[in-house]
Amino acid sequence: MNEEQRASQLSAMFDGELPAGECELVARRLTRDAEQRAQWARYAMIGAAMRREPGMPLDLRVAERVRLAVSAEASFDNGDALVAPAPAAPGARRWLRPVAGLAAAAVVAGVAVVGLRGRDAQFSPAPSAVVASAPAPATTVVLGSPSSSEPESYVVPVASESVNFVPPARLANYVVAHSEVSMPLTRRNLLSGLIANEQDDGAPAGTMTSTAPAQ
Amino acid sequence: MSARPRQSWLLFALLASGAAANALASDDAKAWLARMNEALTTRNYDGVFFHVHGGRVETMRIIHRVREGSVTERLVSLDGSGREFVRTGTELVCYLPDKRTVLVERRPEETTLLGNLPRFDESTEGYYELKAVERARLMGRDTRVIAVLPKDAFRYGYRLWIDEATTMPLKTQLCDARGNVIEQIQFANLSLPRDIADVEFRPQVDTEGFRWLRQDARQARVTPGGTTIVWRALRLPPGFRLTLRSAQSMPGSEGPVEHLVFSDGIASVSVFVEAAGGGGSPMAGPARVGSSSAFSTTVSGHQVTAVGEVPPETVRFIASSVEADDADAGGAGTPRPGLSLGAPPRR
Repeated sequence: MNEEQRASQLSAMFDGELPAGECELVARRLTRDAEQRAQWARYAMIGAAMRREPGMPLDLRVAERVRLAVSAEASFDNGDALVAPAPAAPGARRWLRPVAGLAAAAVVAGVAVVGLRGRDAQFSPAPSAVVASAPAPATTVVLGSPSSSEPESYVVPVASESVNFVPPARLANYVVAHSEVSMPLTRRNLLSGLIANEQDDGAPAGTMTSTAPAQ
Repeated sequence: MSARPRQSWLLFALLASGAAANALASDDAKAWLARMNEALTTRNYDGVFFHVHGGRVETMRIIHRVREGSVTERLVSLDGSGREFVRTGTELVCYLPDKRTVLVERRPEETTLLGNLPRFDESTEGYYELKAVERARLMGRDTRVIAVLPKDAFRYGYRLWIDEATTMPLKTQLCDARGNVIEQIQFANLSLPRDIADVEFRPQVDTEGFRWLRQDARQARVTPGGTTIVWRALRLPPGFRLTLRSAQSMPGSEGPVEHLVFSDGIASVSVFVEAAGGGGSPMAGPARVGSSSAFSTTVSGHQVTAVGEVPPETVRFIASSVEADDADAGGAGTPRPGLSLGAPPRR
């Protein structure tokens, strides 16, 4: 495979158009190819900007534009009846590529990228934009519904006050056991919280963050 | 005829029609909630969603299949930790690549598909207000927006965007008593295929060199009579009552673990009790996993941990109320509801 093909494959992956199997191959190749890793790293920098990491000031409106772009791309497939996604706003689509760079950040960090299957290839690139950094004072995040003219606004609770060194395996096991006795919606939330990445909150690896004891 | 009686009658009619409308809206919301829970439990679906929590957005994929009454499910973080959760029949496997750990839990038998559906009865209505808010368009679909509003700060509420055609929730928000959104899940893509191939449930994690914490299926359920101490909560937040008690073996724990479940009909809190020091370092104080809260304390040489998708104060309240019931020591563990006491925490 020549360089052009590799670049094309990388581009297709960013656009969410690469079949799952090939995504996995690209991810594996990145662990060996320094030049391609550098290319991913450039996207990762864009991702860092999206996450408003120190030195990368970014207006929250960018996150909103990302979200709108993704919402515009969202689609719903109910068996045979496929509803075509609404067209993205002309200015919105170009935000999709930088957003895809966030997945690159994960790869650069050595995290496996799980390929999406090609069969139902309506997936949008991963918009893993961190819209507010923690710990920080309560932050208002705008996550408007694409269908409503008035965006919803909510306050993100203030992040944890301290860090406890909690044996994660046992706590994770408790959460799994608890999910089994919860209602279906709660079960999904519990398990999503379990597999969500919590380590970038400033907690050392191998711990789970905890709040300070209630007064 | 004076105007006053006519005005009174008009006022009464307006109030009555308003009350009737509210009751209808509540019934409507209940019906949508029931349909949604049934869809989540019994349908095949495969979707990518955004999990928003603590100002962070993470993309996840959920695949859920029901084939001949058996549930297979896979939940995977696509751009974050790489963690995966796979459930096949009676086996639950949680892959934590960042901890280089795999948790394997076996259930003694498959839980009934609809066994954990919430029962929104008169008792529940004392602690939540149900509202069918409006119809809205989402993802190009017609949805019903349902609000489950907590009446005090001991529990969370929900706002749900339920697809009218399939009754699947396309967007959900977990909210506190003030209406602040704590967690949001919104699908970017969702399909409801007739069947899903086995390959879709294959984990992508390379587990070489990982620590496996397993539980032997034969030890999954400990005979209730095998435990010598019966644990109970002396006090409970308003509306919570004991709904389940079991003793089981769990991966990573050396001895049997007592599992108590308290529920108000919507929210539930599990309390796990095991001998202190049996499973590694003791846990103490509050902790959180996503939007769920946990609180650990030590009682009579046992570690007591309460876990649930409730505010931190609620798990602290419950965990701190657990004690060994000497009167029932050696008994068969007959459920005895705890007393429901205590004022709601300050908002």
